[in-house]
Amino acid sequence: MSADRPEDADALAPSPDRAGLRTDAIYLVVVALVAFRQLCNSMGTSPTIWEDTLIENLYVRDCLVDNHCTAVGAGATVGIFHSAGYLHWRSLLHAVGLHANGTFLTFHVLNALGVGLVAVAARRIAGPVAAALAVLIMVAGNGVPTQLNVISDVAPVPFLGAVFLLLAQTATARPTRATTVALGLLCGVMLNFYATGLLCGVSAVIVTLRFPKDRWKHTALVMAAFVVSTFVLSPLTWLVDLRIVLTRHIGHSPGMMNRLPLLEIPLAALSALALLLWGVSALWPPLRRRLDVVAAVILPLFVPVLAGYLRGSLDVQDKYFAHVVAAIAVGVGAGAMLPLNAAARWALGRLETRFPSRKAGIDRFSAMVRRSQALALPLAALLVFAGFNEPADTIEHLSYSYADVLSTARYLARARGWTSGQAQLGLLTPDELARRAAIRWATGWRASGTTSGLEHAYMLKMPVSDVLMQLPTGAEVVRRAADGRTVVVSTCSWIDWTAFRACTRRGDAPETCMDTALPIRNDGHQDYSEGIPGMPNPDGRDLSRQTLTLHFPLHPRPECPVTRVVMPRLPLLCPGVIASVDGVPATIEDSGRRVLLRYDTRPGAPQPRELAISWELGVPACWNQFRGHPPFFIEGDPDAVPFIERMIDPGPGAAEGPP
Amino acid sequence: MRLRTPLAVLGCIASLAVAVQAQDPTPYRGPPVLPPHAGPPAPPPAPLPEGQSPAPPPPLPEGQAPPPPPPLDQNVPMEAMTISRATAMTVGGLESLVILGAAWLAFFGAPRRRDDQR
Repeated sequence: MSADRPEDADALAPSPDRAGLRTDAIYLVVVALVAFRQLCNSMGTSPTIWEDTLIENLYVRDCLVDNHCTAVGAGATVGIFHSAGYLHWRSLLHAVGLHANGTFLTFHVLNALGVGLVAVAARRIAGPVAAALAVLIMVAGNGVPTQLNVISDVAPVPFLGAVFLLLAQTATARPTRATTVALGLLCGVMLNFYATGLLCGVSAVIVTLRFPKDRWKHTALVMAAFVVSTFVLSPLTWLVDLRIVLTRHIGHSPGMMNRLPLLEIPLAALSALALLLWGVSALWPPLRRRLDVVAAVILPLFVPVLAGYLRGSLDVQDKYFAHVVAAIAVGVGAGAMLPLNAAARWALGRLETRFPSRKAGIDRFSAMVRRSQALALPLAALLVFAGFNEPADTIEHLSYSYADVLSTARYLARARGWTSGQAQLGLLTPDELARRAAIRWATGWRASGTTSGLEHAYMLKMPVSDVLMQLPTGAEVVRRAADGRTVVVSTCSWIDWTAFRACTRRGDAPETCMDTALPIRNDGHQDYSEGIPGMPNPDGRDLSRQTLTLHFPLHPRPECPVTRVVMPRLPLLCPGVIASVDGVPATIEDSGRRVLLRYDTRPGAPQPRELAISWELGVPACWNQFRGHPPFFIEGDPDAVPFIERMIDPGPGAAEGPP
Repeated sequence: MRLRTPLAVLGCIASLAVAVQAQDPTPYRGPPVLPPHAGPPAPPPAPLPEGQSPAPPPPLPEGQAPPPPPPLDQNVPMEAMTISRATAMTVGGLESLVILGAAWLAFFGAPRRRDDQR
């Protein structure tokens, strides 16, 4: 069968007619609505705090405030620069008034539309049941693995991948110059959003090479559109990357590898399944051609990912599959249904031939089956609406969101008159990124005010299971959400963060010490570039094994007569120990994890003078976890400290932790 | 025809937005409003390994740091490579137009020309 005949073009992917468009529109709207609700339920309506978002915010701020917009983009873990186009797009969203939550909900809307487009794509290939299956797979595959819970350059990619897939199908069904150019331009945009967009360009070329006619003309056109749009949107990114590629090794360093077996990565396994179904359908060429576009999208990613995995130079992650998740969904949904539909048609034909007297009954049965297929999508929509894949109550649910840090900032500004500078001195939380986000991202801090190194507040997340717990004096719930409560605990303290001494010792070398303080800075770049004087480098890249000891002069006083210090043990927290207490004899308990200190009210009585806390840096428990800021510990009022400890470490076994 | 009209409208809106952005001297109103840099900022580090649970580092000898990565380019620092806000907004607007146009074409298909009907 030649592929040059018009009927073959239709076999590749049917072109929508007027009636089909009406059905498609219904599919798109219904699916997008339930997918949007599902995304809001499972991913929240406020972005989770994420390192990449905070770095992006610096670029957006530089662009909008200082008129210095990056021309090369952000660094990727594989060693190149990318995402400049995405950063410009994010800056545009911000400039038109879509700030943190607005941008996040925009991503939700787009990705919900992406699920709708997947339903349309699968329906056009293999009917309503395939559409329903594809919707379920797309919804299950999207989410935290494709970073839909945060603002990042990956988050809009599943939507872009869905647009690309449907456009490739449409272009294949009826090639025109407009659709071919649009394919190339879209790939250029995708590449400037996220580096895997390069593989979209390869997919676009494969798609045009499969066109039934004028394939070389269309291939040249799509390549030209892709190259020109890629370069025009951010020329310096690609000049710099070209230089990098030509001069150094690209890939993950061995220290960054998590090395999960490839098929234990859900989207990698689903990609393999989609390709397997495409291969199986090759036994019946008309079916295979219907899945060719899907394979053309998945293969250019899957092959290099597999090669990188086998060579050990790539830490394969679900997010790399973000632009093919739509193709995976359609590939599995349609790949499963096409052979089934064909087999059913064949069986009914055989029955009609064998039992011609029962043709009417067979026709009725066949019509009934066709009608019942229309129920597939409502059923899938119902499952999505009911949240069939919403995650269980995991640690992800207890991570901090923008809404948490915003509520905290507004509360502390209103109730205690805090400025951003005071927050830099006194806001404490076990999540260092949340602390930075509260200072750098949240609005609502007072513009001016006094600062005190002795004024502290802890920002905590309370799990749903603990919402009935009695709050100690000084604690306030500042945000109530379905996943828990955000609590701010104000407590008196003996530690003044404006004056302490930092000492480091490497191996047998003598200890070096420096008097230092938590700096108050207006520029978020300095969080990364300068750190705290006397403390090891903040980015951890030259973090050698060493002992960090912080010596805190203590400030006992009558209005704050007792203080308790606890060194918590949490998975992402450097474990420290209380090394010593000067001034009075003190019992340090629990292998250096706890001490209780009292102010002696007798005139002239000796008082606790100094507290020393040590951390081993550069060891597996404290490597990336160390961000240049003093690692978190709890110090304060004896009523507040046990509450804080319970909030951050609710698990019975977790409290023990590694020694 | 049905494609040209919405694209023209979108183009006009985007051009207007870009023109307003380019002319508007008001600084950006979003958070956080910070004073200008005291000096050229250093580039932020590459993002950490994803997944909230970074792999442990290879063991290092006590007191020894791993070699720093080679400098990317001694002559042209990354932070010096910037474009203006108006240009960035224009790029963002163009990208939005391409995405919208591609989505439109994907859903509706290209408009049929008379020679397509044969």
